[in-house]
Amino acid sequence: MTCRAVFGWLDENFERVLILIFYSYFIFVILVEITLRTLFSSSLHFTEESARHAFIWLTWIAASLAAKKRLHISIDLVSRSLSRRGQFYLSFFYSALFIVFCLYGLRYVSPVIEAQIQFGVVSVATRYPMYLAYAAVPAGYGLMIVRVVQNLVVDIADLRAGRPLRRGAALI
Amino acid sequence: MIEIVLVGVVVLIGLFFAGVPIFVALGLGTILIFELTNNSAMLSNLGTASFEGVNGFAFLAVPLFILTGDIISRTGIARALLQLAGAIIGHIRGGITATVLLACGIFAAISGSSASDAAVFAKLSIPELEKRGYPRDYSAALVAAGGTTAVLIPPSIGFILISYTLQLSLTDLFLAAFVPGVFTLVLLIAINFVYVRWGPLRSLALDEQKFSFRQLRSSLDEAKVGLCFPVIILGGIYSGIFTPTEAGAVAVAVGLLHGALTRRLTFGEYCDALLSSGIVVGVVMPIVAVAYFFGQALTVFEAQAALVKFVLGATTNPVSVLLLMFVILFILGTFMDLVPNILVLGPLLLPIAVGIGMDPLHFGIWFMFTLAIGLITPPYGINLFVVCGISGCGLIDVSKRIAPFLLSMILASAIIAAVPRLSLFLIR
Repeated sequence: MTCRAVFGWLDENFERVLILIFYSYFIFVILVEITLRTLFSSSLHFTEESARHAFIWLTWIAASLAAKKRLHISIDLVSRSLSRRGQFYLSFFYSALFIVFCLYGLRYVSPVIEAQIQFGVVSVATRYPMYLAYAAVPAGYGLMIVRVVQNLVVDIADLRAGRPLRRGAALI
Repeated sequence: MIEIVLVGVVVLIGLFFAGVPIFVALGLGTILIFELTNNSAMLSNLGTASFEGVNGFAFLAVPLFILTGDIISRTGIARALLQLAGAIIGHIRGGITATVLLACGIFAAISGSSASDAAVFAKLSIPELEKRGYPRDYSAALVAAGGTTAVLIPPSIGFILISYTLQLSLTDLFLAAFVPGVFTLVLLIAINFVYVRWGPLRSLALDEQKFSFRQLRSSLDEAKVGLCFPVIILGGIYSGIFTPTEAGAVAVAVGLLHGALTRRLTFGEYCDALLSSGIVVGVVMPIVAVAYFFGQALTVFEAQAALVKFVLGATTNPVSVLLLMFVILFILGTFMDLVPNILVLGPLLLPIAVGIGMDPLHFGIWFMFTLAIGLITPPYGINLFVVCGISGCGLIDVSKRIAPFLLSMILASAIIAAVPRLSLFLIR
């Protein structure tokens, strides 16, 4: 596979694969826990905690997929009343705000993770390094920045080519 | 200091109405509040809030109650439920419209998402209603209204968020919501009946086929797998065998097993179902995280206390206060999504409700049922968007048809507010 094909595949599937992994994982461990509890009256110590952490990863990776597909909940009444060029400038401005917010997120989560690495903080029940769970947050903010920039590039191309600008599809 | 909070709130509302995604608007508004007050300690909480705000085992139920609904609609169970509803009330004159509402209500005891309830039955029943001559925009409004029961009748994603933001037991909320939920469904069916039989559509309400026990039995047989799901989910939660999250996982497992055994669900469809409910997590949970951050701003500046003092300083008459809250919830419900409304308004209004002597659990139920009206009111109503997308009708055309359903839901909200026992008698 060429480098381009690899990136193309990642662009299309990166978040999807991670979502499937984290989502299937937590469904699976919850079922294991229930089975153990009801049939064998025993319990694993790591299921609840690792399920929660998998869910946090799911949250932030799916947030990136939602950004890519322009699905984050917003009202587009103002934008709909504008010309195509007006829509573009508005969406440019909103994308900038989106990125600013993600940068704030990255700025304030990094010291937390640095401290966790420095002091060797581990999770309460399973005792794996806590930064593995916390890394979901910078991964999400970072990926969202990438996706928002990608969409802006698409918008610029659409604007130049005279095509209508894209909008998010319905969520369900 | 409270003025700065107001500035932040005005900015975030402005950004949202201008079209910025709600979680970005809420986040930037909160950042502005802390930047203006030079409160870098609170500002740095954004990092931990992005993690701790979504770190709860109960949240895992959010996608699971959507996934279950998705699986059963892919494996034909939703269609069987629709046929069962038809066998129960389809024979009454105009009964096909009631059939759709009843099927939405049964599905609501499996699914927790009003948008997916509406989506499933818009696809299944709008073509059928059209064959009987019902106008498409009316059918779309009917399904949009029926879909709201998914957040009213447990399990419900709305109550998962309310449980978190108002610090109420989710099991209690699910128990308390059951009777008001079924009551609202009955009200929707009843008022729709009046509308169909005596309103502008009366010429369409024909005598349907005769009621037959044989048909009822065969459709019960078809739907028996589907009827297991409410038993597993609600039975499991109410009896205390499962937490809501576990009940969701078990329901998903049963749905997958059934789909695999009957070969109605392929691996590819499993992945699609996971992705479409997974992405809802990516849309809803960042709002929860940022609302947690915003909540810290409200707490630091004691905004709740200021609001309580302001409102209860003006009047302590419970009826006026309730009316005021109703107007706020109704108006914001028309413009804003259910999720931010729950997360932002819940903690602000609960102290006021407690101030007029309302039970917090009763408030939680009434709050949900009132906000749910916003699911079918333009300009921003998720259920309207869903049915418009599927039926191809315009938002304005469908909105003109929502009057009978709007009336039912407003009436339900008023009765739930006036009769606390309706919500509380199963609990206390």
